Amino acid sequence: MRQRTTTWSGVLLVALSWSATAAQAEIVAQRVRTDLSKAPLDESVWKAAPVVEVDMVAQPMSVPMPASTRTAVLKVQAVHDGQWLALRMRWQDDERSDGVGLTHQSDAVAVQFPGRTEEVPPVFMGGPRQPVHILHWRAANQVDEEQGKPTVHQMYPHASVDAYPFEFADSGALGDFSQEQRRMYAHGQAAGNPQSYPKTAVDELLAEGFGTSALLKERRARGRGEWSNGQWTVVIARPFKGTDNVSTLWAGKDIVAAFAVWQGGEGEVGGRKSLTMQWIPLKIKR
Amino acid sequence: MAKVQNWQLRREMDYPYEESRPKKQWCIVFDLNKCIACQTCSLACKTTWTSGKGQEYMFWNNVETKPYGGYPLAWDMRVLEKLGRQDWQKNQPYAGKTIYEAADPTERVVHFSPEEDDWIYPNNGEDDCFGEVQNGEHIGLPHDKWFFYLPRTCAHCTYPACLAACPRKAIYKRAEDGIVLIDQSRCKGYGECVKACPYKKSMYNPHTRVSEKCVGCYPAVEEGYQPMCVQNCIGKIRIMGFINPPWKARDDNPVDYLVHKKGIALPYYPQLGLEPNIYYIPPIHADRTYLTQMFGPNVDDAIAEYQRLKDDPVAQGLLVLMGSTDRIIHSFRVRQGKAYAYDEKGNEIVHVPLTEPLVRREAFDLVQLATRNNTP
Repeated sequence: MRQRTTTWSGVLLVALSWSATAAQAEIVAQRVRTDLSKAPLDESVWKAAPVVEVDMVAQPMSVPMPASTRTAVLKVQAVHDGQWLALRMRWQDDERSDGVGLTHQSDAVAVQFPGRTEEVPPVFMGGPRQPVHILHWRAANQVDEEQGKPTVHQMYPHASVDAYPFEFADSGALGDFSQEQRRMYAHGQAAGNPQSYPKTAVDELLAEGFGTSALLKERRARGRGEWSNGQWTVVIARPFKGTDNVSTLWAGKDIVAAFAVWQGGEGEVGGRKSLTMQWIPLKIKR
Repeated sequence: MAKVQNWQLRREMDYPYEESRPKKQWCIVFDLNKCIACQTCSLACKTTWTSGKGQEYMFWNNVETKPYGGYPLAWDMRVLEKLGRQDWQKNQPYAGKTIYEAADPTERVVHFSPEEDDWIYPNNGEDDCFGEVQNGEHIGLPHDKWFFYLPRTCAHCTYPACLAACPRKAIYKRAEDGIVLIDQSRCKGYGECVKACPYKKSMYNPHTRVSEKCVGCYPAVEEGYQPMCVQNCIGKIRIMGFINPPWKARDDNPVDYLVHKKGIALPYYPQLGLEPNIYYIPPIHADRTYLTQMFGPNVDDAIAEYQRLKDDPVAQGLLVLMGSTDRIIHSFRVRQGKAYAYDEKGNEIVHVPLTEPLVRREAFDLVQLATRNNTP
């Protein structure tokens, strides 16, 4: 009981201070000529896009939550080409964390849209039968995409292993052991968990509340991040037509978006994140 | 938070989910007076479950030496330090806080996060005894130098911290046998369970990028067989069965008998509040203060009862049934110098004499026409 009181009073305090401060942030995406489906995007794409500073706080709704807000400000720019929407996000992070090994977590950023663009679901990852569509970029996923999924010996060069089941230097001598038999010993892979397979830099998920996120089967959003001098710059691009008509966009549409940032070096993952407490208007200009 | 009944603490306590006891509860009883740290159990488990990529460092079953050992390093000392000193009088409800009750409002449980390197010294402190052995010393009774081996698996707790901590509800406790499992398709590798489990039996796999834990050998258990670590124990120190809460305890159920009827097997670190389901017969020569911290205030009674076993043929019979069969013993009986083990249907699995019959062999074998060797 004591725990919940603290949480709700925390939410109330932040919500009150939010409305007390002046103009609400509003993101405007102008049309550009560049084909945004082709990566990487040139710097010039963002030249005329206004930078919006979005306020974020430590996730206050559900345990576990961060002890403090690690990322207070996210700078957002948006453009579109009539077919694709691209967002560029920047935030301060003293160290680059791309999440390899037992205890490391990855830096990440996510942008969330209503699952059905006529609705405005609860901003905290949606609610039952009120889905949200999340584009989630992770530095560790980008490592998979650019360098391949790290092997155990890449992560731990001094690891000493005598043998893995069904993996032999001379497999021919003992017959053809299928991938299936080897995979039995990688339980996550055997269960088909996408975490256990090579990932692309950006995941597309649907969620209906905390703890319910699930990957879309077909993921067309793309992205890339660069870290330099204590700052991450991440671009995420998505087609207007989402898979299965999820969060369909078009030029001239006014929608809303929400954001979250994880500082991997501070152990942020899952619910341990900074996020926007409100939906931010996003206007896609004709 | 819900209020749930924890019989080990003799009181109600806070837990994020409602009380829901399984139909049967998987449990193992260990006799710490017999463990020799041969590590056969560790390797039986590893060969079966953790020989894949990313699992190189994992020991879902491990055996560590107490007081100085621990896998990961100093796991019990670190969680006790975080919880702080708590009080508990014998035969009274636990007066302190559990890891749920003492938790910071931003966290599910009081916990510590092991470092990566804490996992790579599973034999640290092995065979290190407490107290310095001076030149010319010999052991008397009571022992002032001591150590013991602590074999441990996941405890498949009634109130698991791993399950409570998972924000995705990717961990579940089976209703049929109380085994706690991480859903390998639902886990996203946040590692909250790894942080939360005070016994540190949830482990992150850096190859599959999700977390794993002891599965209670559920495929064997479903077929009526004891887990691999129990079946392969050379010293026959273990027995796996299905324990009832004290209000449903049956005297003919082997684990109920040892835990509830005789009170000689105790849960470890019960003060943490998880109602763990692995139970230990305490080592009779180790320091009682240390044992009280680990097994609670009833340690002296448990040891006294164990030392009276020579007058209790039923308990003796049960102990010789340990390691006598690879099948799960649902009920047992001791009659006329023999112990009988029965399966779920009441059919006999095996019977064992309490005392091995004495056999005298002649020095010269007339059949083989050879002298018998007295080879140990």
